[in-house]
Amino acid sequence: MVLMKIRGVDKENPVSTEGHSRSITMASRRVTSSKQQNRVPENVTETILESISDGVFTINQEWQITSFNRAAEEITGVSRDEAIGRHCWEVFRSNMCELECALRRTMEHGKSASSSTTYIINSEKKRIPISVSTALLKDANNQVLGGVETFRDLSLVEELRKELDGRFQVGDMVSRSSAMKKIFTILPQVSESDSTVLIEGETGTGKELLTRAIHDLSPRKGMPFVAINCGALPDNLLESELFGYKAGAFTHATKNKPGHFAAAEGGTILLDEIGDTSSAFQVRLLRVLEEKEYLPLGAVKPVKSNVRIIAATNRDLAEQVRNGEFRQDLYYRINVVQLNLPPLRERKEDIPLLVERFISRLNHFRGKTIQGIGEEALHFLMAHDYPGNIRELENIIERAFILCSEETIQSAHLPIDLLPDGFKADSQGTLESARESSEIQSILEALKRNNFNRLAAARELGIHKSTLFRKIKKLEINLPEIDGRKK
Amino acid sequence: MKTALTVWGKWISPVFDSAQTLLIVEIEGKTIVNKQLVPIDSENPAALAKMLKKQNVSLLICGAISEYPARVLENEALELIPFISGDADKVLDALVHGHSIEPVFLMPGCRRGNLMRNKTRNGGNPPGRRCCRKHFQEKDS
Repeated sequence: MVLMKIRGVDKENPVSTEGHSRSITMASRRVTSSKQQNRVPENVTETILESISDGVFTINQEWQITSFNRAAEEITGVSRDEAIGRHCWEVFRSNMCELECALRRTMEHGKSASSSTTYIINSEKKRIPISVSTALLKDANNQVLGGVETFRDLSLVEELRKELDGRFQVGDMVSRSSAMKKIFTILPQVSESDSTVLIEGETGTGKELLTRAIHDLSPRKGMPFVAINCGALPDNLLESELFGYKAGAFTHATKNKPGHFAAAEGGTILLDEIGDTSSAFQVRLLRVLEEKEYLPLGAVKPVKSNVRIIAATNRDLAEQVRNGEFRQDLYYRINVVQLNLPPLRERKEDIPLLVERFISRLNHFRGKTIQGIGEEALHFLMAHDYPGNIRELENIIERAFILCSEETIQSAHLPIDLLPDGFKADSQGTLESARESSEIQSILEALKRNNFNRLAAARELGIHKSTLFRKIKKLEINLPEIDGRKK
Repeated sequence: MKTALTVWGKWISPVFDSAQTLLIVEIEGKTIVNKQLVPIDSENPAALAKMLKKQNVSLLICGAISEYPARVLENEALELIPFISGDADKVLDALVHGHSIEPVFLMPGCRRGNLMRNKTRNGGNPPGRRCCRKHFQEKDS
């Protein structure tokens, strides 16, 4: 029996359906005189709500917020004055709002609901992990006034959980391997230094993620980050894309176009697949690194540049230098700090962690509740060599997510190439038995429909009667005594 | 000019990261000449950004958005006006008539100052931060 006064309670009309309603009565007034003596005073209830660390808000039947406690203000970053009267989804901004709203379930089915895997987005674009529970608000006559949602900030719990896991995390990269730990340890100093960095690693090892992490840890954070795949563009196009061009530089160049270096001014540029560039381009890039300036196509005056360059390649650049495929002077200029990302097959201890991360992310995005991966399926994943590295693992999990309708991902949800030969044979056997069951079913149904007349059933099935007899024998179908020919 | 809005029924979708539907509108002068509802996979912002570029959409208006998808969209040089809430038709009406979307339709707790930090890939504040009146004046001239 609680009466919660939020602002200027209108006791006759506790929940206004007009916008910006200011009050809500959360309990019954059917209180006997003796009970009234024990009732918690209104201001005490308000004090209690204000003192707890869980966020609490209430809504009316128009989904407008009618009360918003102090913790709710702190967790969401929205003040009470701004929140009250607004639709709850505008304030709460949870990934559940659109499809999985716990309050809507509660309002529709009248049952309390809770969820532990959700997040809200604050105005700083940060995802805040939360748990949620909801309940109905009813008046003294058991009439539904609206709903109440209680939510708990799990940010600290998440951080502690990560620490307990013994994982290392930088930016969007996560690992348990000692090779990655070494990289993560020196990353703050590397980021701070403003030196050119060379990242070597096979395709799919996370070179762009590492570059992004360096940028985000550097003083250039907040300035532009631009990633270019040099291998994807022909030489001339790459030059105009990177350095831009002036009007009249070539046919159809009707106006000046700034390049990616201009776009990244003050920030960081990633030149991916640097080993695939031509010798002529390498000369131009060397000039940018040495003189800190570049010449747009068709320009006569160089443009000063303040961009940190990070180069990445999936090839052995030192070997390319030895073979004369890459300029030695440029190699030494970009190889100030070298980071080698190990392939996934050399850090298989990360596979369970990465799988867990991909499942968690897909659960959020797809609205599923897959709990994890089965032991056997994980064993097969650990045995694979991953030529495509983390990207390949991510695709495998995404595929399994599509096929999985159970609580955990099982071996049957994995691509057949990952399964050992014996398992493949088992899978084929399963298909065979499924086909046999289907045949038995079809034959029996046809026989029943034709009063167990074999000839009529064979005709209906589109097979010769001797084929039907052979199949009945092979599939060991037990037929009843009844025979369609007999009256 | 084509503009896209993440929508949820009649409302701007509260969270881009879990949005299901995109409303793409084509505006000529001060008239909406075409409207199209497109189902989207918001978990793949890179594919979405490419689809928007392919359709010549230059401006995306959405609700709350987290760092990663915002970064991906801005890296594709899309103008992004995030943290917008309210009736999608009213937001469109304001846009078409060159009225400012911010702060009228800004989600509670979001000040323009917060949003000004977002930079486009090309540096500086994205044009989406500008008053829409100015945006349209530039387009008209």
